[in-house]
Order: sequence, then structure tokens, then C-alpha cells
Amino acid sequence: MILLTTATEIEARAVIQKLKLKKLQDPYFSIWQNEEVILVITGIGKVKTASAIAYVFAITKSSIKAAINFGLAGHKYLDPGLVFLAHKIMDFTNGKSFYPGISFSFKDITSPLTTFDLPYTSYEIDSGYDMEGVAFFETCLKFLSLDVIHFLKTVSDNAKNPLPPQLDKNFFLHLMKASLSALESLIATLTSMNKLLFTPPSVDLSFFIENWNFTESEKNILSDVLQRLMILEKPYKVEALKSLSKHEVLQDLKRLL
Amino acid sequence: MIETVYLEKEIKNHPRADKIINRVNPKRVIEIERYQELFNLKSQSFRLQKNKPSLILAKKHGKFIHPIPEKYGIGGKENYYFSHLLNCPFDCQYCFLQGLYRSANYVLFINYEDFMEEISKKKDQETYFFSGYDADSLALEPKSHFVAEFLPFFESLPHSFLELRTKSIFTRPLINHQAIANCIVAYTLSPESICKEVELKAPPLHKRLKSIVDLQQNQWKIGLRFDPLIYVDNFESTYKNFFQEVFSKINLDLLHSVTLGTFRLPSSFYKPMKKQVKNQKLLAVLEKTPDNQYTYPPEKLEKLLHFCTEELLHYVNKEKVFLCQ
Repeated sequence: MILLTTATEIEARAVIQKLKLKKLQDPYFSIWQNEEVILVITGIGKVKTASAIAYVFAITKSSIKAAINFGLAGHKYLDPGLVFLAHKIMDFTNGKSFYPGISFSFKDITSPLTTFDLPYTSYEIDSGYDMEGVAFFETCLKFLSLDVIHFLKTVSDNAKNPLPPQLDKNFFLHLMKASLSALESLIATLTSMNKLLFTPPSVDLSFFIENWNFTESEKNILSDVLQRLMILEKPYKVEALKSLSKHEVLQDLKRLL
Repeated sequence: MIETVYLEKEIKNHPRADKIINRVNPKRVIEIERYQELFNLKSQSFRLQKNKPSLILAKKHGKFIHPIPEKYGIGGKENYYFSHLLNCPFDCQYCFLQGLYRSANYVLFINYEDFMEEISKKKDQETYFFSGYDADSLALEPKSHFVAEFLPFFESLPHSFLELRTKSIFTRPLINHQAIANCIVAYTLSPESICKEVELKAPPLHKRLKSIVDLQQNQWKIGLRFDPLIYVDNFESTYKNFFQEVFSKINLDLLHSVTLGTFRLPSSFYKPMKKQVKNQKLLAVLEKTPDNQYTYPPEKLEKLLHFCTEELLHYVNKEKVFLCQ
């Protein structure tokens, strides 16, 4: 499953419609889901972002395999409507930098992204601007590898086209709709990358725990041996082990390797 | 094709960095402070990065040459390795780099002169320098020009021997240069069936053999590295035919040395590799030894090693054969 986050409802609306996401009954956050994607509207700012992401990871256990922060951003020079993938995330407050791993072919625009605590309107720094990026990245990094944590931002304003005092929601909606194909393409890429990862076969020790009193260290050895037998496709008959002592069981299984 | 280059701020005006970036022609160049802030990060996936590695251009600090582990020499008394490059474009399933590093991105240290200065300090005594411990010596040559720059340097140091360890068939910088007596081009070779199975993205055996023949025709000294030997059910016929094929093409007069060793891993690399390696059967057969390594069970190991050593001695004088185990 892929985690999508946006800061505001207006940034999420187009993707909810396009991916036919259904709202979950949740007391704390606005969370939407289909079979492949879970979206959380975090709210604006670092603290709200970090808490929403940590919450979603907690309720979904380990089913999230990649994360995309999707939304609008100001930029020094990129034109409104352009979509970019962030290749460097900087925290304006403390100068820390992070680097999402672009471990796939990406021919379109990439740019640095700077996260501010307050709206930034002077357009002096050569990058995109948001208020959530660093918190999104650092929180996701607790759960995922940096190769599957990404930012897809649509430029809403730049030095020549600053945001007007009265925000036009339809303009934002239009921008977000126009960036949906880039989002779908990134979701597909990250989904296919997941297939490159190998998950060692999981081992069920319940039969052994019920029949013998293995120590924790012996359970580790047993688990390793059973996993290797599965990988090597070497079958064993559990019934034949029943009359043996736990040491004999381990020896017998090792002998099969 | 490398799409992303990370460039340390300290070397952003280094002329070699400029040249390498021009050769790579990446989609993006991203400035960083130090390579460790990316390369050493815990939460990254070696396996995913192997899909599309980025290049990190960095300046090496600290020690430039290191003594090699005991029993890994090829006849010299003084032996050092140096690593101008970390990681490799090939995807050999047995490679210990998958357990050593968290990242599969290439780190290229571009301050070649600092390596040369350190190597020069040993110029009066016969010393062997091994360049292919943490990378393939030739595989990134079209971008790094490492060999092209180091050959003239070693040519001026007759007592210093350079081993280039490789599976690459990019031999142009060697073919274009007159052979030098103190350079050994050492090819890691495996039977074709094993190449296909575990040496992913590396040139097939017949192409490596063709490169060896070309190099020998140009008078380059060759090393043969049968390391790691991989245990397969029919290893006798597999390795017998393999050695027969290899030595039917080799000019023994220009053979510097042969090394062999079975597949083995330090235990600290085994665990991370279990999560990275596609060919899980390769690791599942290994067992932990009392000296904290993972290798084949003693019976299999001895059979494989004994058989291959005996076979090799049909073709090569034992003075040229070194066991790395």
C-alpha cells in the first residue's frame, strides 16, 4: 500500500475523486483509502504532519511500502502548474538536509524543496517552498527506506506570480487535477519497485513451541534452520520429530540442510 | 545510464569533477556537504538502489592505503589495497558489498593525486597495490578514467605493482597503452552456468575470456581469480570443463598468478545480505564456522576446494597458485 499525504482538503480533493478513495471512520484525522492507496490530510505545518503520518503508520501496521507527499508549493522560478519531484529537502529552521533516493528513471523536473515554519513569500531561495516536507520525510524515514519516500509538488506561485491575498480555490483545484497523471505514474513506479524487494519466508514455530520447551536462543536457531529449509525446498515431516528431544529435533533438521 | 550525480561542495570546482560530470551527462547534479550524509544513512535499500544507482563524487580524507587481510596476497611481501571507488555496476549475488554498505550508489573519490602521493611513499620496496577490493577496477572506467590516469603513474614506479581486479570487458585504456611490467589485470571468472545464475549484469564468461586474449596479445600480464568457487551439485564436471575452456585460451607465459577460494562471508555481512540477495539458495546453504564466517559445510568445502586445486594444477605451476581462504 502507498501512503499519500496532503496538507489541505483542497489539495486532496482531485486525487480522492480520481482514485475513488473512500473515507474511513476515524476520530482524529481525515483518512481516505482504496485497495492500493491510503491518503491522510495532515493539516498545515510540521507537527500536524508528523503526528498524522505516525498515526497512519501505527494503524496500518507494516502494510505501507512507500509514501508520497503530494500538493502545492511555491517556487522561486518554476512556473505555476509545473510539477516537480523533490531531490533535496532542506529545513530552513536548522539547515538540515535530506535526500530522497531517486532509484528509478525520472526524466522530468526535479528541484530542491525548503520547509518553512511560516509562509514564505520573498522567493529568494533557489527551491520550492512548503511547510511540511521535512516532517514528512523524517517521520516516514522511521518506517521506510529513503528510496520510497517522495515529494511530488505542483507549483502554485513564484516570484513573478505571487499568490493573491484572496485565494481562488478553483485555481488550486485546477492545478491539482492537472498533476494527477504525474502522481499516478509515480505510484506505479513505486509499486513496481516494491517487487524488487525480497522478503524472506516467514516461519511458523507454533508446532515446535507446543511440543518442546525451546529457549529464546534455540528458537532463533530453529527459525533460521526452518527458513533455510524452506528456501532450499527441502521438506521435513513434523510427525517424525515428535518422539525426539529438542536437541535431537535441531540436529535432525540441520542434517537436512 | 546514471541520472543523478551528488557532488560534495568541497570539490565542486575541481576540474576532474567537471570532466566526470560531462562524461556522465546526468539529468541532475545535487550539491551535498559530505558523502557520508547519504551513503551511510541507515534507512536505505541497497537492493532498490541497485536498480538505478546514483554517482556520488567525493573527496577522500584520512588513510588512502590499507594492509590487505592475511592470506590474500599473490606472492608479494608488502600488500596494500586502496579504494578510489565504492560499489560496482555488476550485481553479483555473492558480493560482500551488499552486506558491507547500506547504499548501492557509487562513491568515486576524485582526489587521485592524494592516493598517488601515499602510494609513492612505498616506491623503494617491492609492494603490491590492489585496487579492486570495494569496486570493480575497470567497470566505471568510461566515466572515471581511473586506469588511464594511474597507468602512467605506476609506470614510473617499477617496484610498485598494481592489480586491477575486474569482470569488465572495457579494456580500451589498457589496449591503447603499452603494457607495463608492474600491472596485473586480474579477471574474476566463473563457469558460464554460474555466471548466468549469480553474476547478474556482469559480462558472460566468453566475453571476459575474449578480453583476456586481447590483453595478452598486447602483452599485458593476466591474473586469474577463481574466487568465489560456488558449490553446485555437479561441481566436478562444471569446474573441469570450465578450467579446460579457460586454459585452452590462456597464454601461460603471460599468466602472472592464479588465486582460488570458496564462497565465504564474515558473519556481520551475512545477516544484511539475507535481505538483499535475490538468489536466496546461495546463502541458505552456508553455515557459521567457529571463526565467525559463513561458508559451506566442511565436507562440501573440502571436496570443492580439493577438486578445483587438483584440476588447476594440471594447467598451472603451483608456484603461481595462491589459496585465499
